[in-house]
Amino acid sequence: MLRTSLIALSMLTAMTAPAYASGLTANQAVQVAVTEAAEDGTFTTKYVPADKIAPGDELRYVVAYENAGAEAANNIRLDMPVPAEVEFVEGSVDTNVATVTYSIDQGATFASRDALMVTEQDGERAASAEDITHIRWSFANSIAPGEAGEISYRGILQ
Amino acid sequence: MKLMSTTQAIRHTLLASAAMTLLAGHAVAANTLTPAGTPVSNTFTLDYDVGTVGQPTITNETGSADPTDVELPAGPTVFTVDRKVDHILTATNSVLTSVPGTTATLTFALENEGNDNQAYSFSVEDLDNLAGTFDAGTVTITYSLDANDNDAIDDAAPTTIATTVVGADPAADPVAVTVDVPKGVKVWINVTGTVATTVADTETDDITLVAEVRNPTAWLIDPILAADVAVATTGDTGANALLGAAQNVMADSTGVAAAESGASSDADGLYAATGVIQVESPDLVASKSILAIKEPAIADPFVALSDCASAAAVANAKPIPGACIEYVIDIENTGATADAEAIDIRDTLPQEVTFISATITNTTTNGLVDDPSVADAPDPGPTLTTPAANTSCDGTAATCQIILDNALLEAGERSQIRIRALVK
Repeated sequence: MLRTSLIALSMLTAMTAPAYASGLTANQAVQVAVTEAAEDGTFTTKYVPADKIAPGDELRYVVAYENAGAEAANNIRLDMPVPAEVEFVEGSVDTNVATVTYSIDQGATFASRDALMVTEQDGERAASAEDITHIRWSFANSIAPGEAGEISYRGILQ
Repeated sequence: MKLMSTTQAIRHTLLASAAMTLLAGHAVAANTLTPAGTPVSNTFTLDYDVGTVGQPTITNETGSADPTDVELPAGPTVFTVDRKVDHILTATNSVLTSVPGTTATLTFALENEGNDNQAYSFSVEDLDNLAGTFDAGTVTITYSLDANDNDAIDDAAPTTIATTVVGADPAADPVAVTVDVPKGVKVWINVTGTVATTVADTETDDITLVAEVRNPTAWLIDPILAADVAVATTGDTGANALLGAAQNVMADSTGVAAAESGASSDADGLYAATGVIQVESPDLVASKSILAIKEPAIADPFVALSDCASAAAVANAKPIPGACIEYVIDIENTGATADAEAIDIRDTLPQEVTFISATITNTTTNGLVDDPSVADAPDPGPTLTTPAANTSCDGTAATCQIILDNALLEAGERSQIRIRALVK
């Protein structure tokens, strides 16, 4: 009995210790798209910290991460919901660092964008942008100590 | 209680379902913008391993179900949806033709395309002073709300809100402010003005309606202080306010610059649309002609014809005693657009004839039609009043007058009154 408890305690210590000692850190921000007209008539869109956000505005949710630990982090998986008031913008996810999958059932299951099907009374249909409730980034590579980056998606406030 | 047949019951059910479909169909098009003041929250979860050892989940959720999760102190990312002040004002009869001596009503529609309640004040600008223009008198504004959102003016009697001073600065006008208009709801506005009898044909009057947005009695989520009610709504500027009460974001584009009293710019909360009253009189042309239809048989010259009412015209018939003749009163509205209303034609036959019949024939598609300004239920016009058939005329209106009234002739329409009579 005592031995079992000791083993359990040591396992718990092994699991939790790196999180407190070192590891990944992350923070989330919301930005809003601002389009500026240049003198030559061209337009540029940049994302600034959100101040006024009204329906129709394009938002960008960003999670910045950094490996503050001494060891590489691997098997990284980051999930971000799409708020009910926001409609996901197709193609707005950067897929360079990770494989992206989507959920239409509040994060219960994930699938690639083209495999996302909505079941209705009279059959299935391909999911539309407004059906997407969660986005998952599954990183292909490990993140070395000191390495930082960010992932983001864009959405339109309804 | 009235019992319904099965057919009636089915029809009623069908009507009810059609009405429901209509409502449901409209709901799809309704304003679904996120209401101002709504907090929008978002989170993330980050899982990873070090080597082969799973690490606690990092999240900015609060109250995570798993006690081993590392909750970030910053908490979820939250912002407040700001207030989009966005409306659209359109003139729904942009050019209205009107007859001198009448009251013309220009109609406008104003829709709240924002995400909160809004109130408005209205004023009119009457800026045209060029040749060929006139100014309508006694300009009055009334409005009604499309409270049931069915896109029709059927909810309530319009409210008169202001009799404005033509040419005044809308911002300085003493104005009444409308009730709260919910997001997605339309307001119908009528601007009526009188057209003097002296105004000449083709003269126009451009009337611009200006709507200024005002604070309602209550915003959707944050009821505002009573002191702010009916104050002009302006955009919020300055410090970043991601959280807290909704800020005003003015989303209007430039309206009619002159009507907005020279201070026109985007995001000024002023909306304008112009309707034109164009004076156009009907032009009624009438003529009367006579044609001998048929002579009596030569063998019996003094016995009158019995088929005068229906006889076909015989070539070269002479109006000899006993012959059937036809008077044709031809009327045509040669005006461009205006209806000729309240038409009243009276024709008294001479004492040398006996009245047989009178009918209306139309040269154009509609011809003479009912004049809606005459209360005539259940029998609509045009009304043709005649003496009894075979009345021997004595040249007086009391005995032998044919009257056409309760009739209207639209522009371009042409009709005839055909009166058959026998020569005594």
